[in-house]
Amino acid sequence: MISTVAFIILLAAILTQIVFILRKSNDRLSHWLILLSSLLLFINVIIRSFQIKFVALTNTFESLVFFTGMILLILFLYRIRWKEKAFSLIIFGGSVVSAALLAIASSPIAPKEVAPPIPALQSNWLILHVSFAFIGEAFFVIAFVAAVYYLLTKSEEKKKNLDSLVYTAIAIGYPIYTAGALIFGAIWASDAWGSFWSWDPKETWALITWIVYTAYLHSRFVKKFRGKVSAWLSIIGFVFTIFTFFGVNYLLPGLHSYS
Amino acid sequence: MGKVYNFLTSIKLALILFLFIGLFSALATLVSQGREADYYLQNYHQMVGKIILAIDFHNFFRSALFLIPSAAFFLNLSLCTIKRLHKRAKSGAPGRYGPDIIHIGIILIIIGGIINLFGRQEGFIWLDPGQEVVITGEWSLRLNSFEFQLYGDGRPKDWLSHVTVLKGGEEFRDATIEVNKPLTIKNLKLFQNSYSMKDTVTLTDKSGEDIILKSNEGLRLPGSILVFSNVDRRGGGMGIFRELHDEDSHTIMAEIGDDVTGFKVTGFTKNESTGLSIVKEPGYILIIVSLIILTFGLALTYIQKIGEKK
Repeated sequence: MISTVAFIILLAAILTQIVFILRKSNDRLSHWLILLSSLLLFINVIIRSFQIKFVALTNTFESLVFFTGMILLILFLYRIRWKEKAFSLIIFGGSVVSAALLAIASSPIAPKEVAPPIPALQSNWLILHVSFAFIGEAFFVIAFVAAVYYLLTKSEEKKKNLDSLVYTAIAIGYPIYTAGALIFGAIWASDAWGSFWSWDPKETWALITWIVYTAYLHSRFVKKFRGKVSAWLSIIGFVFTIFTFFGVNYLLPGLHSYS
Repeated sequence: MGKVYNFLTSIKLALILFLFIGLFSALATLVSQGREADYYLQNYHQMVGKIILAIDFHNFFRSALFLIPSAAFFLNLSLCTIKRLHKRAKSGAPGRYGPDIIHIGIILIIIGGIINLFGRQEGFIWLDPGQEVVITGEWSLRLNSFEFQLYGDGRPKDWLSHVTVLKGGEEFRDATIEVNKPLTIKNLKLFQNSYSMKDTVTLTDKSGEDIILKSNEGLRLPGSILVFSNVDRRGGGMGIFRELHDEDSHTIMAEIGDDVTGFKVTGFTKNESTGLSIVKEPGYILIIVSLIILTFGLALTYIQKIGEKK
């Protein structure tokens, strides 16, 4: 299976990163492995899409493959733009998160059967809703890793750069997430159920996640919240992102039982 | 006064309200919503159950605990937006107005939501093929046929109601209602919601007249009632009936051509009826327009930010 190959290549990338980080030398290899892994995951999405005759974003496995492919692609693009050595830790953190997501994709909690979508999912809004939400969330992964690094490092210069990195990642991810998870989701809900909003647990948690990132963006206008508080909000936002994706499905019942 | 106004329009208040609304909404997802009072008293520690009921936590999104902070947020956002726009008009500087457009979009969404909260109406109808029903005013709807499509592996592919819209009794247009593709008539939307498949039997009496019975329908006979149950389709198809007398009842099985209490079984079919929900959302257009404004505001904020960087 292509996704398994992508997973193995990603693990190789992580090993390469560890070696370079320990040797404190510039890693010129792992991001190409990351790009390769990302491309393989997207090829997997394309092949499955042909098989099910619909864009392959119809269950947890397919969503995870797309989401991870997107995170890896964005990691690669970041690496190409920021060549500083410090950035290798961000790439490493992002790669570990991606590997964890792929591990979940390969586990039994994400059934892998290739099957065309049930009637409820046959909508073009699904494609916009899911893809935009995940592209936005992929930027939140970068913001999360950078925020963790921010809290761990003692160097003021690094802190400054990381704070700016968290901010730009959220500033890019936020509008995309808002459009995907909330706006397109609401329009689709109106088309499918006759109501823009039903307060089902997944909707509520997507909104709570959005509130956290909205709070993050506004916290930057309050001087004493800048830095530590902002970093924590970025971390909480990511934890909620993941909970909205997995936790709600497995812990709280609701209308989004298939995703 | 100035202090109060400043606080009401402040980002600090917005952040406090975010925290409050976010935290309580999160807790509300852990409590099953909208059940009967007994459920909470039986399934939670009695004290917890009583608290849930006392603060309406089982209908959280319609409770004061949610609506009051939301109203405060609405006020905060509205005042803040007016303040920003006023400042901009005074200074004459165009600046970054993307966030203002986002704020206006959110204010309008909340207004649309409130309109729907009070004005939303939902109804439900069952239709048999050939049956006609008035939807609103001179508009009515006739179900021509119902179709249940399956994938090769037996999973459902689609439920389709093929209908004709009638205006003043005249055929206006044909349409198909399916999942994710509602039909709009005037300001109402019709959604494919359910379906039911019932076996039917055709009985022919001695004079040659046909009587059609759907599953669980009965026929009054002298001294008894004949109820048609269903069709066992293994083999050639066997109709299952029950004949009810005052004191007892017995089951009758009959194939096509057999005689049942003086009637001849002449056919088995399936009657497919469709369940449509009808929704009226008075805030619909406002919400769609607000969502477009919000999307535009998000895009503009982003473009302006990139412009500033360059």
